[in-house]
Amino acid sequence: MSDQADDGPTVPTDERVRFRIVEFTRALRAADVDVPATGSLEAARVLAEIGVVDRTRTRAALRGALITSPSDIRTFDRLFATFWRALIADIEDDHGADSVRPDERPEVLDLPEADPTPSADASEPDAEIDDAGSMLAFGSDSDSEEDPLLDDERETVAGYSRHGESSTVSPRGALESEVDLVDPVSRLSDALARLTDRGYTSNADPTRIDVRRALRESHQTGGVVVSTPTEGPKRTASRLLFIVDVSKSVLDVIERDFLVRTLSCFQEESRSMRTFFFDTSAQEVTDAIDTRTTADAYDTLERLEATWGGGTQIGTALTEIRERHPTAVDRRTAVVVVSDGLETGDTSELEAGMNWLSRRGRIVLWWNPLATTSTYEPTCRGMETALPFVDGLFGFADEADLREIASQLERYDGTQPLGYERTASP
Amino acid sequence: MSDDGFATPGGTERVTGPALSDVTERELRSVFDEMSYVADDDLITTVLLGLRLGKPLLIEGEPGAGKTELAKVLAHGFDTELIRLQCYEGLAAENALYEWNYTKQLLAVQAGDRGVDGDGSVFDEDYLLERPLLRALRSDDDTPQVLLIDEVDRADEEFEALLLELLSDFQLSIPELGTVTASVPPIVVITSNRTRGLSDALKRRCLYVHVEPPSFEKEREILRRKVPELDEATASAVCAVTQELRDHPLLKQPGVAETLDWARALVDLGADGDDQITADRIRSTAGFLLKEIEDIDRIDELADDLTAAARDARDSTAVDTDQKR
Repeated sequence: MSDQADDGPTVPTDERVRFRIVEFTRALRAADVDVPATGSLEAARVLAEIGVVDRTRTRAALRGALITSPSDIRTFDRLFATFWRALIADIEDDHGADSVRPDERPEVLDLPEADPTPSADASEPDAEIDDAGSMLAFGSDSDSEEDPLLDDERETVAGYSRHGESSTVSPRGALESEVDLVDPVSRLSDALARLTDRGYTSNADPTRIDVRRALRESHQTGGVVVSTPTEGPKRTASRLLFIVDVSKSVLDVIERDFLVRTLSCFQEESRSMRTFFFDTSAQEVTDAIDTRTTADAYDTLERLEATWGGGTQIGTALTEIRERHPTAVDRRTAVVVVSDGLETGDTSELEAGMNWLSRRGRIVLWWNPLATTSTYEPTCRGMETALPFVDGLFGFADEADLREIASQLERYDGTQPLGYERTASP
Repeated sequence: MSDDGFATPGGTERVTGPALSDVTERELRSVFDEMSYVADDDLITTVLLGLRLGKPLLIEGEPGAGKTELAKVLAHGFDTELIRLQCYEGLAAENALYEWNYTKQLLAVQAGDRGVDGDGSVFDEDYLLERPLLRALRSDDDTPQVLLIDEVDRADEEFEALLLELLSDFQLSIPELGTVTASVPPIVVITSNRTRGLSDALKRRCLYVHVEPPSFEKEREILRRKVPELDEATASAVCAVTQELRDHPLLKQPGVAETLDWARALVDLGADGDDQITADRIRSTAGFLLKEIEDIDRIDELADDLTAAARDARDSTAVDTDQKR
């Protein structure tokens, strides 16, 4: 226990985290958020208590400490994304500057006041540390000779946590989260499979009167409509095309583990699915995702030398897909673009690519990891360009978002609006 | 120096209850599960921090969102007493903190048993009537009690000032007796419906939570736990109707409490898996969902949308159920 308290308020946090907290509260105040006078101190306290290992928990904790009005939540969430990126970059930089091998790195950052793990059962792996492991394992040097995911030995992971006692976790074990993705993905796949086509047919469940047919048949009865034939939406088999942005800005706000597990689950559920990763160029990774376990998926991705963490050029990526894989999308294909829309390339190319997807595909959904609150506004130029071609823009950061998308698609009949703004946030 | 490593400015140690300062997230989730309280991750994180740090929780949200229920769940879940202070306009210190038993004091003085000052005066604990806030501080239990200060926005702003000392230091000054300090600080849950803004001084002493209306999935889960006799398809239809209502600009949106009331009413009326929620049934039971006459008057214009939403949700659930089989 530290004796610093004799001098007044003290918070046992790492210097970098402390700096970021002060910077964050200043940014909030500059944006007219009503932050309490002791906001930075309270923020440091809550982070010292729960650690900085999980984005959702950190956001919830800081919201509780810094926000006092629901009208400020929107601004908070916007600025929190920046704060989180900077914080994680700090932590990753700290390890990047470290010359020691990954397995020799210190377990946690400077944590003089670290509490014992809060886990009720000490014999069970600490989920927080597992999360940190999965998060920071990808943040380590990509040119490292020893890939922590392929290393047979148990790998220590680094994370800032007050409860972050040194512990070892299996890199493969870290991939096996307790979060159930099978159920929401299954529901989503079913919803997409049942999704109505843009056309109508008399062979389906009737949902509206077929006026054209009624008029046509009325010719036989002298213009008198004696029956009202009905028509319903076409139901066609499901094909999925995932176009996934793995640029740094996306990977800063979405767990890689969650992303890969989600794709693997979809691959299992779907009859036909193709997956492309892109940052500044596109690469098909369908075979990597189509593996028995998530760990296998990582292994395959490594063998494919799939790249992570570059900039975002969605338009270029779509052009590549269109030219090299023109059959990737057809009228039976539901297209899902996973991206934050922070386009750094030519928006006219993006517009052409989205136009192609919209014209060819059955439905185009855009899953944006930044649109996790109903207050998000798709005002960046990439999103502004893409939005006219998108049938539904959703948030995509965790399992709850998948459930929300599934919920909306299950009720979707092709007429009502879809999207994150219709989400009733809990 | 306290265990959590913080020192308060005045040098007073921040003390948290011995049983709850080290509660884990798993234990808290378990409590919520046992009490059938459906909480999202944000709420769990904030409540967890409130318990660990000994900070009061300020919970704002629409009426019927489950704010008061949270305090009840914490009390029952941790097997401790719930002390509730319902706020209202004109609430004064003597109703919230303590009051002297003037009748008893008068009789004691007239009988010559006690004086009015010095040792043996009538200003001691024998003549003190505890009100909720003082009672919460003077608990002898090892487990902290749950102090619910409900609908604080109904009370006058002056009343908030009374709370400040209690919320920051868990102590109360009684001029005639001195300062009463809690040996085991209570878990404080303050709720507000945001009918007026609260003072900065109050807000900065608390961890803030804003409870939004639940999503369709979350509300269905709440129904599943709270009204288990309602079948899955009807529960989905009920949730779809309330979600649809929340999409309309009503004077008073239905909260979870209204959804539960309506679901129980439908159960009483014999709704089962084969019954559709018809426009007539919605009209006849609209009072469970809508509490403003202007909103109820709009039910006819909304009926088609509501029944369509109910039908879609029911069909969707039926398909899911068939697939599971």
